[in-house]
Amino acid sequence: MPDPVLPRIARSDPRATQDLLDRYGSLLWSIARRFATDPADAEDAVQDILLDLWTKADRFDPSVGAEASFITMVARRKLIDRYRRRAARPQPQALDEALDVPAPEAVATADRTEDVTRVLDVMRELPGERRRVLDLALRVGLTHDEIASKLGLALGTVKSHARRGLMQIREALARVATAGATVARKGDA
Amino acid sequence: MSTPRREPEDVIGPEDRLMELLAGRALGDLTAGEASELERLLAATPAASADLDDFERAVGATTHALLAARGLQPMPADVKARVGARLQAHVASEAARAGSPARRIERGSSRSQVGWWLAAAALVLAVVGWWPRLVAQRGDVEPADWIVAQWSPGPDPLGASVSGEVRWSNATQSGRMTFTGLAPNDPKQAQYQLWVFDKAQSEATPVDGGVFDVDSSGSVTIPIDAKLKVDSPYLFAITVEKPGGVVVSSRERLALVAPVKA
Repeated sequence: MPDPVLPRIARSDPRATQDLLDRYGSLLWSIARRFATDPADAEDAVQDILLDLWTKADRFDPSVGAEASFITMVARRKLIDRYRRRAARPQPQALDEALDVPAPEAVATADRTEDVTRVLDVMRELPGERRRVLDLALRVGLTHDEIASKLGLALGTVKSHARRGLMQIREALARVATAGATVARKGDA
Repeated sequence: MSTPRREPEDVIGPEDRLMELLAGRALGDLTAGEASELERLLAATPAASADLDDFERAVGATTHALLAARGLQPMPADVKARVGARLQAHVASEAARAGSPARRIERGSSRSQVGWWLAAAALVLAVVGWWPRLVAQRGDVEPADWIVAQWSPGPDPLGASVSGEVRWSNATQSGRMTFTGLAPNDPKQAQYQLWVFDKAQSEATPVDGGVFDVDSSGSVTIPIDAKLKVDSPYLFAITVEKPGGVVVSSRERLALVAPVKA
């Protein structure tokens, strides 16, 4: 993986803006399009996210996770805040709702971080219903009510699946972060 | 709101309950009652706040992984150019207002180089005797209130290898720009346009500083032709526009910015 760009953003490197867009433009656009009503709305949303990233760049710690994960986290929070203020929530974009989660090898090399590999490995091991709930919640952007209706499940079951699935992923990522921190400490010694 | 359904074997302890609520918080699905419960548990276990960050990162990582696994949607080139230009202008503007340490370091470094060149140029002018004549011809002296700012590259590649500065005097309402390495333009296709961001003006409507052309790739000096009075500039910016310039720039092609030290 190339050197992270957020530390350069935090140092106000004037070329970092373009590098950020070159590397993560597609990710930001994909997330924004999922929430936005139309392309113009998505462009405004991306602008909001970029400004937020600029102010939060110094909080990124490469020892605890991939840069793309951090950027997605900031983007998602920003978009939720943005659309929460609106009276009507836009309908999520129609996305591929295939049941299977692709193997990590299917992901483009540039996007295949350790986090991505670990998440997809865990996702593929989750029970089908739990995997489907998480996919609909985080990738497609459906609310838990919408997922319950779509899958014919009780709302409580949907919430339980989502939370338990996320707990499993969090544990897997924590093992990666611990291993990374250990390697970093050995490198410093 | 519904609470998660529990299986008979799902009798969990306080720590597991805390983790479950933190997961729900990161997913944004807590009921009001669960939010209060989480607050109480966090008050009793302050260290668990770090776990919330872990869950937030897990949401980010999972969202990224699931989107990337199906292929990301490329950002259209025109959108990329516009958001990049706006961000660059905003950042330069904020840095100029705040006088950020990073910008000060850059300016200090550039200024020392520019200072060397100015000293050398002054020496040459003095030796050949042009300096007194030049001043006499202009009928004035260099303004005492020069505001000097160094050019930094914007997102447009035309500004990538440029150095130079902009000088502005509020007292005389005049100034000049110097560039080294700014690419020549075809005036029939596009022209450079200066914009002066003034504290008295909205950021959306900077003062038009005039259009200009560059016909050689060496060093050039361009006088500033501000269309309105400028009282307190905090940022100078160069965009690439259609021939004749524009009244309001879309900032799609932002070549250079020069924040003024606060």
